[in-house]
Amino acid sequence: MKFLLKQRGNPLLKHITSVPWEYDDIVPDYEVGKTICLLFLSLRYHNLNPDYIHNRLKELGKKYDLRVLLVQVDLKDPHASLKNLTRICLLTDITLMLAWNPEEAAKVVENYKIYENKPPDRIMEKIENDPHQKIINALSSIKPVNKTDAMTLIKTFGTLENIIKVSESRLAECPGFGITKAKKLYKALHEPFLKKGQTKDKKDEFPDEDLTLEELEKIVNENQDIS
Amino acid sequence: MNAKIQEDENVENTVSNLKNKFPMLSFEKQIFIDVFEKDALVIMAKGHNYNNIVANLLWVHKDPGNLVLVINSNDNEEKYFTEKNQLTPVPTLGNERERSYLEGGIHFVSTRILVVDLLKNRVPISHITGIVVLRAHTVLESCQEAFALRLYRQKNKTGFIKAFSNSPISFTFGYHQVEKVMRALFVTELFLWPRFHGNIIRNLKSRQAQAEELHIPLTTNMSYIQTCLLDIMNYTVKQLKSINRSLDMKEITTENCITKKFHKILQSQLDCVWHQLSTRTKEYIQDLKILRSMIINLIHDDAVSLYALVSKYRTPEYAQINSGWILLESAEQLFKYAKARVFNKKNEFDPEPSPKWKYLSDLLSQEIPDEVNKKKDSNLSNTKILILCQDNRTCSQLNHFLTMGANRYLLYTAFKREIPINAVATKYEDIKNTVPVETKDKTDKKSDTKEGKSTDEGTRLDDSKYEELNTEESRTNYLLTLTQSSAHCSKDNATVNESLFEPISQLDNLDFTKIEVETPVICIQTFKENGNNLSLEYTLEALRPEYVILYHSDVAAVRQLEMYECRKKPEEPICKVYFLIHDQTVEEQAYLAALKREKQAFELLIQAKSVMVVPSYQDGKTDEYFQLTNEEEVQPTDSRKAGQNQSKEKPLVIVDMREFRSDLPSLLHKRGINIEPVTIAIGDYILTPDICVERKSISDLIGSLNSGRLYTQCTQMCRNYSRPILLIEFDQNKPFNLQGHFVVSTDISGADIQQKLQLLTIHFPRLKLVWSPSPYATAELFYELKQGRNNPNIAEAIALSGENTADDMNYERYNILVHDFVQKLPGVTSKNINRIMNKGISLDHLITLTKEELSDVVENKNEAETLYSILHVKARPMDAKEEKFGKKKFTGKLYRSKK
Repeated sequence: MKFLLKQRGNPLLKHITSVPWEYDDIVPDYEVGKTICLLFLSLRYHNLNPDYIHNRLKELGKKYDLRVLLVQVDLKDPHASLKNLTRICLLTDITLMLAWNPEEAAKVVENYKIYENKPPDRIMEKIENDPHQKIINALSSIKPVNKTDAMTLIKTFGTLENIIKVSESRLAECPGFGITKAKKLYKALHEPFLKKGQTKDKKDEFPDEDLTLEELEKIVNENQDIS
Repeated sequence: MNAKIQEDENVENTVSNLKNKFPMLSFEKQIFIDVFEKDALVIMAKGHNYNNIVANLLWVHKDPGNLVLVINSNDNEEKYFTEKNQLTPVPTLGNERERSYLEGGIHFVSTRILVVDLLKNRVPISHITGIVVLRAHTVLESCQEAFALRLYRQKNKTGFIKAFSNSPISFTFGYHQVEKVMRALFVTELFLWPRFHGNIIRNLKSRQAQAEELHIPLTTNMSYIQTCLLDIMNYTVKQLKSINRSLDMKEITTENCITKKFHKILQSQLDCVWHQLSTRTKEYIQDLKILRSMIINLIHDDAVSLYALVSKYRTPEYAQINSGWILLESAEQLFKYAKARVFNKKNEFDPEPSPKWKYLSDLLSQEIPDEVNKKKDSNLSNTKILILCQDNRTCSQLNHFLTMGANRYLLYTAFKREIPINAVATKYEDIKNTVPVETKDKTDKKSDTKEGKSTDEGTRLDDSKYEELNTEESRTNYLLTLTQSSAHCSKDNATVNESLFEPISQLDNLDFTKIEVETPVICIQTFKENGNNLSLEYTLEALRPEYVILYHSDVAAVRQLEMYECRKKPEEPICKVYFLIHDQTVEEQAYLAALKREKQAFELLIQAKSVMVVPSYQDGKTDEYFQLTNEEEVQPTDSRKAGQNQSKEKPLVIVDMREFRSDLPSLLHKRGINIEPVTIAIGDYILTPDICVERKSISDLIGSLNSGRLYTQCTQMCRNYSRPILLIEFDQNKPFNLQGHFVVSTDISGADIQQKLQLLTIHFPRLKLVWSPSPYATAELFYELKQGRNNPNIAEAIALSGENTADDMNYERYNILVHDFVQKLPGVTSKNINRIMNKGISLDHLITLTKEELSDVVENKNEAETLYSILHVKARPMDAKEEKFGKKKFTGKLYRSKK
């Protein structure tokens, strides 16, 4: 993990114990691998220098996939400035994370490193190990098909291979199936994995709503009015 | 001046007309006149039901020229009033409902439906004559009623709002509760009618029933058990408090544990933070409930049942999931005494009968007949006796006791509960042979009555083999008669054990008019039939008993008896009421505590009323009120002047129907944002064509992170909207900057949830988090986000659902239908799914591959094999493993079905 040189002296550093790190010359405050980066902001500091985060965000642009703004809530009444930051984050496409003290902030940074490459299994629905149950689950995940229908399919055709091979009209003949249901199931089973024209790279999506500099400046000004 | 007198006369006339419709007591008349004149909130004591007043109020307005809506009623109330006034139910279809509103008259509507109808302009709002709110103490629980009334008041300045409540205690929770309720109801007057109100005392004193209290001591074993249980409860409460310091546990005390309200108290305290509690805490709560059920069983039930209940918890399986009380010294004592009540020193079956039984049978077989004989004009054969008890179990217990006799009943229970009996004390020997046969008979009979009987009544037996037992116990009333004349059984003690009473007939739906007058009737009933607080009144009116025996004590029941006595015609005989109370026990204490709590509540309310300042605009009949609260509405015009790119139309937010349980829709509406209630599959709020918000309270956040539901929801949001937002809403009553804000119990840490939340952000980089300290802050933020943005398209939002994805969204590389399907197959993991998707081409292609080819795609031999076999080998169902004892209890919410 790489830290920005300027972060030297931040009290959260001494709480980072479980991941190795080094200082480097990078754009964000913390860089967790190639795709994740964090910016650190103390609310108190933000109230004194509202321009600071604005400049940092401009500098950062859209360089990483996941850009996190880690805000340490160290004010008595954080709501006004927090609301402002929320709006900035929504406009600049940044994920907002809150911590209430340096320890918590350090934990957040560590967690991002630890989970950087982890699959989402822990937050997905638990699936039973029984293959029969699994196949029923899978079939009934295709919208109009319910558990009973899935059971019928397996009973009638035996294996998944057969279910995939049969024609749409044969599916419609199963009890509980109609033409629409069979059509939807057939479509789901036979559409190609890749979407058409998926060769082009993903581009960033919302030019119309993209943050313009004037807009950001205005928010910052508003914030100054508040504070 | 003249007009005033005229008006008074009018009111008087109406009232005198009413006399013939539904007769009222003088204090009820007073309340009626008060309410008829003014928009007010009426709070009455428990047991003094407002049904008579409301029935009259509705009757006065029953006319096609009026449109009166009654909201927040429960099913029983709705049934009662519908029958009394011969109303037609509101149709379920929106269009039909619109028509029936236009036809006028009185309608009972559920508030959620009303809110939607008001928002969709199905109700002719300006023509509504008035709204009656029942159970007014609950209006703050959900914002619904307040929202409906706001919508109503905004467009209708003339109609009335009248609110009634029977629960003064509910108004003492929270800060300025009664003021808040009144503000939400748009009423300016508060009428308090405690039992100690001068008018009520005078009124009820005019004719009083004869009362006799019988104080019955507990047996020594019983009082030992009671001490042990209280001991254990004390310990558990202390533990609970020590690991949940930050939680407001003022109401969770040993004293409250034994009151009827305990479940309600627990619910109000814990339901909103349920997922934030540690497993240990949940165990303590579970145990408190068990202990409470034991202590109630001790007082209400017989020795054998208690022993059966207690033995259930003396198993190794239970010890594993138990929170620790089972290891206490008191617990050991508890088991010992519970056993001692059933088996004698020689380990023979010799249970002690409940102490109240003897008194009850004495009353029924001797005292009351004697008394009847003393009076000249009455005789035993047309005497009617009503026995009232707390729950259905006691009902059935008393029924069995009276028909079978004490000893036989105890043995019967032992057989039913499958208690192993090796030896039997001498006096049971002769009964023993007859009982099993009878048990069989009973079973046959039971299966007859099973049909059409609801088994939802809360009994503590969760085993399915007791299902039959449950059916039996869900009956709420029994009719018996004395078979022998009292002369036969006097003095001879032995006859107590023989059955004197037999059931009149198997009347499933009790109809008192069918009973022939020739026999003495004994009716056994609960205070509230399946939670219906009007059932006792109905029974009293229909049966008109001369003698009432309160086997348990209940404040509301006593008051209903008082009212019944007062309502009687002067020529009717005065009825006599016997109280059977255990001296110096939790039973007595619970009764006194209930009385005390209510009295204190009223005193508090009287105090609050005397210092209350009600602004004159609170009735909402002037525009002043809405201008004050709607000041934000002025702002958009300003910003338009400032040259912002503001659309001309009013801001609109699409809200999911299910979200109407929260405060946010109401608050958004307050800010001048139009609400469009529809059922949408994705997200809770659609702000703009591309902003979709999923709202989670902290407790829900934890619950849905753990269950995986949030992952699914986020997947769908990200697929369909370019700016998906996860809104994390904190409780406004808790400090926002709370340490360890994710959890309440101190013995677990919130680190796990923090990690899961971060994992979520890693996998959904486009998902934005919004941390909101309260619904108010959320409403403000939504309002700002709406500024200068387009309104969402309603039709599009409805059309979007799991299977119907917006085609122009290119966030996914893969076709999602097949992706989701393949993802769920065995052998497919979150790691290899992308490889399969990229190289597999399609399912058609995948099934043509050999095992080796497949493992080239998957790059893992084991996983490839699993996948291959699932595609080509027939899958057979495997028996799902049985869930372990008791583990189920902690899943889901504390109370799953409230509505």
